[in-house]
Amino acid sequence: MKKQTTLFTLLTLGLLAMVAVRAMTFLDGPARPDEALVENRPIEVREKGYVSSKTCESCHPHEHATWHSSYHRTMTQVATPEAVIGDFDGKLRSCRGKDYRLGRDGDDFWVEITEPGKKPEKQDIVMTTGSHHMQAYWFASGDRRKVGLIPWVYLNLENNKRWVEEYATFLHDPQALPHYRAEGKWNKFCRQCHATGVQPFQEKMDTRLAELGIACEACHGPAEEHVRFYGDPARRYSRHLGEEAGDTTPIINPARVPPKKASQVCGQCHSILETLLDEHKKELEGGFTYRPGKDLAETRLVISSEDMDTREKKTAILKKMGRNFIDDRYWADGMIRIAGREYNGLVDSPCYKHDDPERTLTCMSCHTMHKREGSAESINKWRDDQLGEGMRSNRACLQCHEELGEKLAGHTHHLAGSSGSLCYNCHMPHTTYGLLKGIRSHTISVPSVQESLQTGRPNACNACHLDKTLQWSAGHLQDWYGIKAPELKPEEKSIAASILWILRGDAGQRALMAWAMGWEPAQEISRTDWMAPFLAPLMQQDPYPAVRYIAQHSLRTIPGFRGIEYDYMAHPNQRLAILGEIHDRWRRGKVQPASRKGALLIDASGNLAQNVWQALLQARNNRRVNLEE
Amino acid sequence: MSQKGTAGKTRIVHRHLRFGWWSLLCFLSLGIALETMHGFKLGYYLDTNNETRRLMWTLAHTHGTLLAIVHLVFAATVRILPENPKLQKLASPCLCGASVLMPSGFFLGGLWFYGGDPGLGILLLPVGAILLLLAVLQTVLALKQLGEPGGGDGDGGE
Repeated sequence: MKKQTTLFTLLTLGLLAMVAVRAMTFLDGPARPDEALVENRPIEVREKGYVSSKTCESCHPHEHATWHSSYHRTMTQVATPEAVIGDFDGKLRSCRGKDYRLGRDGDDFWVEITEPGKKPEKQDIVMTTGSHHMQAYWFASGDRRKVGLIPWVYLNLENNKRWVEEYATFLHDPQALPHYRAEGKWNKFCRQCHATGVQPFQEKMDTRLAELGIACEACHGPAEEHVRFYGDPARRYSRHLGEEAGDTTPIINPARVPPKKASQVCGQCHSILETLLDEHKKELEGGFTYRPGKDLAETRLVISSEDMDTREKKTAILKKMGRNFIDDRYWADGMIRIAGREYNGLVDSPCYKHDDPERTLTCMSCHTMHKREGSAESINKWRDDQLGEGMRSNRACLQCHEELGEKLAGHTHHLAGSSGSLCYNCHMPHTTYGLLKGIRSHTISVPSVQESLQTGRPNACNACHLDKTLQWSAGHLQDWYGIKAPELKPEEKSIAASILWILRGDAGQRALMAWAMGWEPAQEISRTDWMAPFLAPLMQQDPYPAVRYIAQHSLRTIPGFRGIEYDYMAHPNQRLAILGEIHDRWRRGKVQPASRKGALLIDASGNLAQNVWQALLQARNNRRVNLEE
Repeated sequence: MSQKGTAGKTRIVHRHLRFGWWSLLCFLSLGIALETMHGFKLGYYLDTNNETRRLMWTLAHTHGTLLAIVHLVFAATVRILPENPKLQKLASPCLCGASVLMPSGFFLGGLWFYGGDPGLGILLLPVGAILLLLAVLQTVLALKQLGEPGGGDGDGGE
């Protein structure tokens, strides 16, 4: 009896031990246990020191939770019902001669593509890109892990949730037809920034990475050694109690490294850069070589304004990168003009360039990757721009420029508490473009009419005072700050700058001005009763769908136009009538006396100066614009 | 069985009956308190950054409640078994110690914590766990008396 009891006890303990060991090895496995079986899309693997965000969660639950609610995480996802926001309704949609049907069977999403003269081809939708403003979808091409892009994007904007053709969500040259299937594009290019820890290419297009989306290790570095080091509870608690644990593992906290290294963590993706030639070969064999905390310049060249400040340098860049490279990304003076490249703006800023590390502007001066514990701000508000607490106010700038705090109105010459006394409205105006809107420039700059003339970039004054001329702005800048007023042409003295840009500017200028007309601070100071006739021609006939979209979005914020029926993707013939309709509505409305002035092309009776309006339209700059955001 | 031995066994049985029922009252009340915090959505308990606290306090409630039941089972076991000095002098205090230290360790570990790690109060837990193991081991060994001549007569000494 005693022997049987002993045997039974030993067997039970042995079984429990086996279960425990198996459980531990399982916990060390991939985040998705069946990932290794997936063959038709890039997969997540735990190699080269990467362990994935799932491992971070147990020790850093708050950081994991805030990251999980951010849009960094959802930059790339496996196409599951939780991730997909588009309406896969099974309807037929045609795009440039091909038919697409997007449907769903249970938890699986698919696209059926029919090309002329060919049988329909049904492919699985395997990945998504984005989830905030819009979402794009990748299908399994059938060629190993290579994925292709469907030419339809689901817009997820307020009052505008719909499918649109992918090209219409960018400010791209409508004459240049995109390659719709774009097979291999994600595998070759997108993976660099839309995923974490890209591994070496074992075979062409056999894309493996640590984690889809921008996860913990993208900013902190591979965590395997760190996890192993702190597996010892004595080390962890030593650290909790403020003692140094002797951690020499390569993981970093960007908030605790020198400021320029910290910004480079963001800059590895949020910049225009090229991989140095030697590194390119290494990366093919070993996966991406940049690690947070290291000097980005060792592996990447960030192409900033200093690389194009002479004719020779510009020529060299264009020779290497393509003849449209600069125009598609920068203003003529080298200032970055597209969204998602804020690091370029930062490194060109005087607040960054100076030598005082205590006062160097970094991304983290204003932004935070993890919402503060106990912060009253809602998650939705925080994750929109991931700004730190108080950073939507002047506190962002007064951190360093404390001396201006007491005499702000004297510095800005605007009422304290008004939008004109918000530092970033003058020093970070909305002159970059992306995601169908104007976005704040991250090059901290001073308003300049001269720069507007030289580069075509709207200056901060005229981007808010939409009813004022360049002469008006130049005069105030001279009176207040001693900035010499430039020579101006007659129309630059007599017609509001916003009207010149919106009617005769290029597509980039038109987009920014159309957006500004829907920007609340600008509407407040400039009034809205005069704007409709200038948004109307964009909605009717602008060849760039993005410009049409922005114009209609702004028009709908103007009283009297909120419910207007209009589809910015409708055939040009269907859009013809909108001009007349907007003009009719506008005439029925009341134009305030303040808006009846020559600068706004409106006479004392409230009538539009049609001849001048028409002439400006005729003079529109139709140069190719192709902003590669 | 001697009168002294019977009295000793009775004292142990009463001790664990009291301990068990009082613990059950205490930890069921804790459970109600946790449910109340759920009901009123108190951030101190429910916020995502308080996940460690939530886990620790749930464990405190669970372990406290289960250990209370173990006390009652132990009381019943002692009543059935013949008098056993080791059970009285070792298992009983170990079980009492375990049922104080283990839930306290969880509770204190959730009161102050470090991210995903419980607070230093958790150090009470392994001590309590060892005491519990000793108590159970001693009880298992005492079961040998069942089936022996004169063993396990169920005499509760009332």
